[in-house]
Amino acid sequence: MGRDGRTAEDFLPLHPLEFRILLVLTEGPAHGYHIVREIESADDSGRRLYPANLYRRIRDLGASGLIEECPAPDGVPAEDAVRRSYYRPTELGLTVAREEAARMESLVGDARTRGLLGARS
Amino acid sequence: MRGVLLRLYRHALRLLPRGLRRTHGEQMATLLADQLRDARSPAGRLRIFVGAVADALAVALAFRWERRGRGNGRFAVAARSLLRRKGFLVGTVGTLAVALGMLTAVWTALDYTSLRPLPYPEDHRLASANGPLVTPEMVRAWERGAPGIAAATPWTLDAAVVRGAGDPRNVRTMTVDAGFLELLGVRPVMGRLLTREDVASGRRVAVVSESLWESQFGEGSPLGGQTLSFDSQPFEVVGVIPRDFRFGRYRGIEAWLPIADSVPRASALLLLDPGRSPDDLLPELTRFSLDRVDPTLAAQFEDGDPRNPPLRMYALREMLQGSSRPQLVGMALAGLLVLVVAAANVSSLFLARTEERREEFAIRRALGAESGDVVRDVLAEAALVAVLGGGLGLLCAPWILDALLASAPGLLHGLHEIRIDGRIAVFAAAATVLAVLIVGVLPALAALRGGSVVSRERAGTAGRGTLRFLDGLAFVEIALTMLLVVGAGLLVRTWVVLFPAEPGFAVEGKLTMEFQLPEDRYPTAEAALPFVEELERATASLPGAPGGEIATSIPFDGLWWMVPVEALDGARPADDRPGDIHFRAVTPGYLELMEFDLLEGRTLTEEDAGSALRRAVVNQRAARAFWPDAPTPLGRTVTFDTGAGPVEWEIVGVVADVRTEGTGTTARPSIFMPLASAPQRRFLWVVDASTGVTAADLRSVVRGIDAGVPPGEVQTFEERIGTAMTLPRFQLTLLGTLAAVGALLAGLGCFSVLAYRIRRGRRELGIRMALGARPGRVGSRLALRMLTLGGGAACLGAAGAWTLSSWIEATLFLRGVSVRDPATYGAGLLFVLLIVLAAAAGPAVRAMRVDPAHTLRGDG
Repeated sequence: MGRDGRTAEDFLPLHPLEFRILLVLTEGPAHGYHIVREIESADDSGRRLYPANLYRRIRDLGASGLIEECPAPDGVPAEDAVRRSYYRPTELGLTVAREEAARMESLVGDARTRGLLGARS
Repeated sequence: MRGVLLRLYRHALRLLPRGLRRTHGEQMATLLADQLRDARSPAGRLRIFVGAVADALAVALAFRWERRGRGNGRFAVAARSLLRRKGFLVGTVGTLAVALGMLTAVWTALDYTSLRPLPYPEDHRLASANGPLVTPEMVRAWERGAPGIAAATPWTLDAAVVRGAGDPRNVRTMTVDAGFLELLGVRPVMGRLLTREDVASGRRVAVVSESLWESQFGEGSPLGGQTLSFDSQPFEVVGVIPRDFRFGRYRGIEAWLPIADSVPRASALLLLDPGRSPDDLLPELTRFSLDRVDPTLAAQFEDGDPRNPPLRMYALREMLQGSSRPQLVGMALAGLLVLVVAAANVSSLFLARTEERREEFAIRRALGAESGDVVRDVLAEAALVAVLGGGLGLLCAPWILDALLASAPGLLHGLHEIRIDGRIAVFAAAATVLAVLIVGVLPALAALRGGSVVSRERAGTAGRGTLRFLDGLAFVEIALTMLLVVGAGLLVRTWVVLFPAEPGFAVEGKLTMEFQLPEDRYPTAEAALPFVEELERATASLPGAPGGEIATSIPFDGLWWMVPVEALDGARPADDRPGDIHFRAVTPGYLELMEFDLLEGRTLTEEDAGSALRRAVVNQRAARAFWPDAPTPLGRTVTFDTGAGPVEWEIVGVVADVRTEGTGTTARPSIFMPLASAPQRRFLWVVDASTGVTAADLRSVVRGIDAGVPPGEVQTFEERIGTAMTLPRFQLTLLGTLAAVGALLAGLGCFSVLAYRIRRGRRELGIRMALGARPGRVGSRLALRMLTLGGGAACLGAAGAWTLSSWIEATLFLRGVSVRDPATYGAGLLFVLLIVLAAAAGPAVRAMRVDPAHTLRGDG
């Protein structure tokens, strides 16, 4: 349950950017620039992700208890560890990401059933 | 570049809510630093920066809307609409940012150099007076009972050879009354200032600067009855004042002695009653003074000749900072001109965009939107652009200011540390936003044209009405550009004529040395002549036989030798008004050595020097002032007294005016006569150093002639002029930059409107080519049409500029300077036609390559 008593379901649907951030963080703690690079490389629209937008979402995710700040992972140079904040998903965050993925999968399956998308290869 | 962008971005982050900024602002900046570091090129870096700022703005706006609910939805729509057209957004915001940044920086610089308070208490009440009526006695009479004056104290400039415990020195001095230094807020570092008793009793006491004190008695030595001899007269030092005290532009003054009542002419430092100004006080004070001298004179001065008034008064700030009203007005106007151009550009870009969106507006109105909604949407976009451009401009202003100041080292003499002034920034920003909103009304109203019926025009095409409208817009824009380019050119040209940034004589490669021959060895002025002759002979024997001349006053020596003219052409001036002339006794080759321009007659010769006939050369200003109606002053005479009784001089030549002091002031009436006919104990030696003569050579020459004369300080003319020309040069830089930015912005606006007009007309071209017209013919017709449009508009603009120039002539500047310069008009026309060609060429060529079928489908 979230900080304000909300359950995972209450967070759905997630904002696309928040979902992307959670997806990146499921792989392990990451800092802002790492998240930006991962999202930009996964998104083939070529659109850039700029700092204010990213951190606004990070703040919202943090305020809802879906992610939290964490110490830098081992092996990170000391200068980077001081300069950057690292984030990781909370249990609730992982649950929300999973439920959002399942929600999307069901949506896509529906689209496929109705012939909007081709059959899965 | 990265550092600058990051600093700007940190400023932009202030737009965000404080909470977000505090928790994540640092991380945002770190992230942007990483993104900038990894960008491949400077252009890429700039793109990322612009994107990041726009992103911060969008996030900031989103927060506001979330907080305010739906009330501000209009701005959200406007922001999204603007973000869809990035080129338009960058063009309008950039234009405003440049204009506002320039305006803030230039007005700040103006404020500091011309309007700031002087570093004296009550500086706004301080004034200076001079003229034939000003004597120490008169100044004391003013203090006792003249209207509007709270305090008055006389002063003069002088020089002396100073001897103490150290080496003898030539020193500039001031003779002052008690109260002079107090009025300027001077506090002694040791001892005291001059008192009334000192002056009244004629005691020989002196206040000296820290620098003179240290040179004579050593650093840190305590004050205790030491004496210094000034021209062999012992003076007890009673006080030492800070070395950095300056009385305006008077440089190098190191001692203040009590003024003698017998001084025939002085200047006065005045403290005016609160609320009084020199201009409104002058008539009263003149009448008061004349009544005391000779009441019968008063009536004659009632409607006096403005050229030669018996009394002149200036606000001290005006006199010391040397800025005159026309200069300030001209500069402020140039700043406003840039703002007007920017606002007009933004307005025309909005007009063009509104035209493009007519279909959208028509649909919205058909769906039930009120006219007011549409108008408010366009105004909301204008407001957003104004705020963004204004913000960016204010962020850039400090850098622009730094760049401008870098062009004028030493400008402020350390009096002020210059910073962007908050009040000016707010005023300039408010002016920008207001200007954009005012001009934004036009596109907003244009959005209503076309009624509520959905237009049949398709995207990417334009109908006849639209093209005609855009033609009209381009016409107005071109005419305005022409008006502004010519106006700016004329303003700069007039400025250069009136306030030249160059001194007007040969500055390079000359050494100067200042002398004051000691009174004990040279008791009279005539006694100085053998020394002068020796000096001339010795100059010729120096290595390379350099040219060397002697003058009692040279440009930028900071001391004026003004005397009243007693008669013109053998008679007292017809109106019996005294006038002043600046006299300079020179050796015959002086005018040639300094390369003064000879306008009429001849310069001085050796024969003039030896002749009993008194012959002299005047400057242009004197010729105009004393013989305004005569075709030539040659053969005329002028009589004045330089200390040995009235002498009549015959004019044999006229030279051009040169600058003799720093800022803004016009030349004074001057006369050059042979030194042999009017010797002085104080003079300056100018030597052509291009032959390799050094300062040491000059000093050894002086010691060789008379070991009892201390050689003065050797300075080049560049050192002598020092920062005195910095302000006029800086002002010219400011004006030139403003004019160039104005012309550039006008050109850009003109270009974008024209290019847009041509792009919108492509369908028409496609139809023509579909109907069989040859591409070459279509292209040349288009070019011809644009040139006709451009030519017609330029003519209208030129007519406007002609009217404007009459106004400049009549109101801003002095008479007698023609501002109707054909070359400026020609250059303006060329500039405008080049813009038209540049805007038309690319689209015309592309239009010729267009596939007609493609265009007709509406894709082109």
